[in-house]
Amino acid sequence: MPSRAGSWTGILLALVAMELVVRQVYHVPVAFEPGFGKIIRPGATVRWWKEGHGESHWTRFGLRGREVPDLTKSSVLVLGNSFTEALQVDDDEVFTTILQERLQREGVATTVLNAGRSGASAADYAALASRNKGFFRPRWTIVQITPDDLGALAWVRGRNHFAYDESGRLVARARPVSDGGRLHALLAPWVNRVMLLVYGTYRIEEFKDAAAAEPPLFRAASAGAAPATTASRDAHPIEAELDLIAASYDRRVTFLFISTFDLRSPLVADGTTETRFEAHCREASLSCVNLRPGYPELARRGLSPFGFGNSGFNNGHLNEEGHRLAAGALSAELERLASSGLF
Amino acid sequence: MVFSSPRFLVFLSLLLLLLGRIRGRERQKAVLGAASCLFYAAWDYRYLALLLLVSGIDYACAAAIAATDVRWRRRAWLATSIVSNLGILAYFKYYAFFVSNLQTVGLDLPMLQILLPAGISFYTFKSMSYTIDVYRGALAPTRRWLDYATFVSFFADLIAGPIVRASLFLPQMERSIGPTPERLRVGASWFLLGLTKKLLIADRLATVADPVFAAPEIYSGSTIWMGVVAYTLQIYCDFSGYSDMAIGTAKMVGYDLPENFDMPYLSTSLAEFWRRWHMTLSAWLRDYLYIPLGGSRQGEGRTYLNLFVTMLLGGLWHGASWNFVLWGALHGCGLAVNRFCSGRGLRTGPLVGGLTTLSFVTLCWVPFRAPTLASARVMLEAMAGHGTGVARWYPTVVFWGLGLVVLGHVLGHAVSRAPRGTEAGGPIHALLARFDATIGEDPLAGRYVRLGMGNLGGAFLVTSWLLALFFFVSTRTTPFIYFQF
Repeated sequence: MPSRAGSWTGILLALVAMELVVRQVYHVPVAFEPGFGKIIRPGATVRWWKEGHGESHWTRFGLRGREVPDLTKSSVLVLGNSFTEALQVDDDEVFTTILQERLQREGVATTVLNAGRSGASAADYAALASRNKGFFRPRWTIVQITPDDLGALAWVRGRNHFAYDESGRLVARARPVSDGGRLHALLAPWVNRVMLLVYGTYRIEEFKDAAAAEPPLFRAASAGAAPATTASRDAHPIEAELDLIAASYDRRVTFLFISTFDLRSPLVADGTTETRFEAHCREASLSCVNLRPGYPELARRGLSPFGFGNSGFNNGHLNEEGHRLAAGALSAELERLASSGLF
Repeated sequence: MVFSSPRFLVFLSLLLLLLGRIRGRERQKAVLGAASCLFYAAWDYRYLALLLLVSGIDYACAAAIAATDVRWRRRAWLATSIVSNLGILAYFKYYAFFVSNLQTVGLDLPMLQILLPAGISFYTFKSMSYTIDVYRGALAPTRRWLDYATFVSFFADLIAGPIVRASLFLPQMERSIGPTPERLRVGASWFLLGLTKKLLIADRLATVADPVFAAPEIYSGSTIWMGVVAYTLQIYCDFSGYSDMAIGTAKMVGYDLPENFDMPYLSTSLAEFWRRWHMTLSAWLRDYLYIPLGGSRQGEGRTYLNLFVTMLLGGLWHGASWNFVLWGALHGCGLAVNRFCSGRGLRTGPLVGGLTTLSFVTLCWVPFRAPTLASARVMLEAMAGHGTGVARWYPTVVFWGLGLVVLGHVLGHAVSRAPRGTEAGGPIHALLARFDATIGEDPLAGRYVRLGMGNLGGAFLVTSWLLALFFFVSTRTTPFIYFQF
């Protein structure tokens, strides 16, 4: 005879047990940041074992690290998306931490501020420039970008996005993200503590992305449709986007381009975005760093800058090798700028 | 629309809802036939006509065979059916392979860009069995083409099996279909097991196996071993997971499909492995190829040859590539050696036999999965200690996958050895009862565990299982390995 009370108790116990399990692999307390959206709650400790095994700490300024930086001192602000946020690795393995150590070893007394935000796009860096400059007052800014950041994501309305004004000039439109109203504000602090709900929301987004990437139905060919992102990415004015970001930070910017990696041909650029990025950096005399020149050495050692034991080789975010490579490339660039008096 | 995608879950839910509301067997079958066509067209609507053509040819040939007692006419109709099926298969699946090989010996034949219709190897074999059985007098032809077309196009087993014979399926079409609480419970239990194998194990292991097989020259022997072990587990979980989902889906609709896997990696000989791996293909090859070739009735030498030829063609059935030919040839030789030894009483214990069989099968997956024969050679050389690449270590994914497969086999072994019937008692029945689970017995699919949520343990188990799938499966939709065949 089925016991209804027993069944409900079983379901409840399963939910509690899964909450405890999920907390071991995913513990990401979130908060709402006006002008951007969901971020990791300032002051939180994050455990992220779904890709890599990282434990990260976040200061009350929403910057990655254990120590609250003195914002009155010289600093390098690093903006970026999940590649900079780098939940996959521990604090001391992130390229920003390694970069700070290297700079300090070279006698450059500066603090590197990691303001990476998952889901950020190139439009966010431009739209939030005034706020970032006013609050952090950086001596220099590093903007990390991946091939997709300059494309479709930066043009999505309903969030900070690029657009053309009446005169046809590219601008970054700040669109405050709704905080969901009073009820949301009331419930959010509680909901955001339940990892089943926080991670569940995240998983639903992952499933939606995966479903969107499925081949179209009733196609008349066995091959899947060409990914739309490549075409749309190439169609975007990435040169103007780079110029706008550089101008927003008074041209005191270094762009860090995280290019894709192919073990067999590590030096071959992937797609036109990278080629256009490189060309524009030269033409506009922008300070740019591409990870690609460091790839042959990794390939020689059979390594990839991406991927972890639990997520697959050359797949996902930067691993420890990738972060070391990024830090090395950036420190060389900043030293070059320092020697020419720019930094 | 793969079984593990959200799209399929929506499709299945709508179909079950519709079947549940429609009254009348004929209407239900018509809806099922239409849904199967829609399911197939979701891949590529152009090949739906081919599927219906195959079913039309075999239906007509079988009817013609049954309509006459004249032997040569019966043979002619059978030949028409076989030639049509194999001709279609040869054109769509093997044309490019044959032409490219003939071009290498100087014959200038035009190369055509032909797309492989999904599931063609499976539905042509399925359909051929019908005309052969009618010819043999083992099956009376069905009078309704709609029934036959529904059998051939039945979406649950259409793309990657199990290869269901008409003699097993057509009699079931006389009964009422549609979801019932019991069918849903049993079907969902099968489906959940298959989904777990596919999403939680196979797709995760693919992240280890794929890079190793893609560029073996850069990895050390130990890493390649790791990749091959990962693939050995992956292909089992992928294909048996698909079969479980197919059986579960069919059960929810109201039909029974035959068992396709019976813990094959526990086999103590290669012959036993082929009785437990892709069982419906093995049985098909045995009944429609090996036995007609003479089987074991024409002397020892001919038996070895028949085994070799059967497996060689079985290998080629998997795909138009020399890799599959080599894989089939290796298994053919292995079966011949196995027969030679067993015929002379040269038997090993279960442990040695099991390890030898598993090692042989694992090594044979290298040419099966490698993109070319050259890369298969690179891998085998590295595995033998002549690798020059770099060692990489993938402990988490492989250990998790291995652990889950071992756990599944321990439970599966216990279930298969449990006394019949719940009233028989015993520790496994008692353990399952704590989780509102019972052992079911299906004449076609064998033993299975029927899950329930009727008590605390059952609700806890099923809820945890579903949550674990939701939170920990790979979201990347990976096609089933056997879809390409």
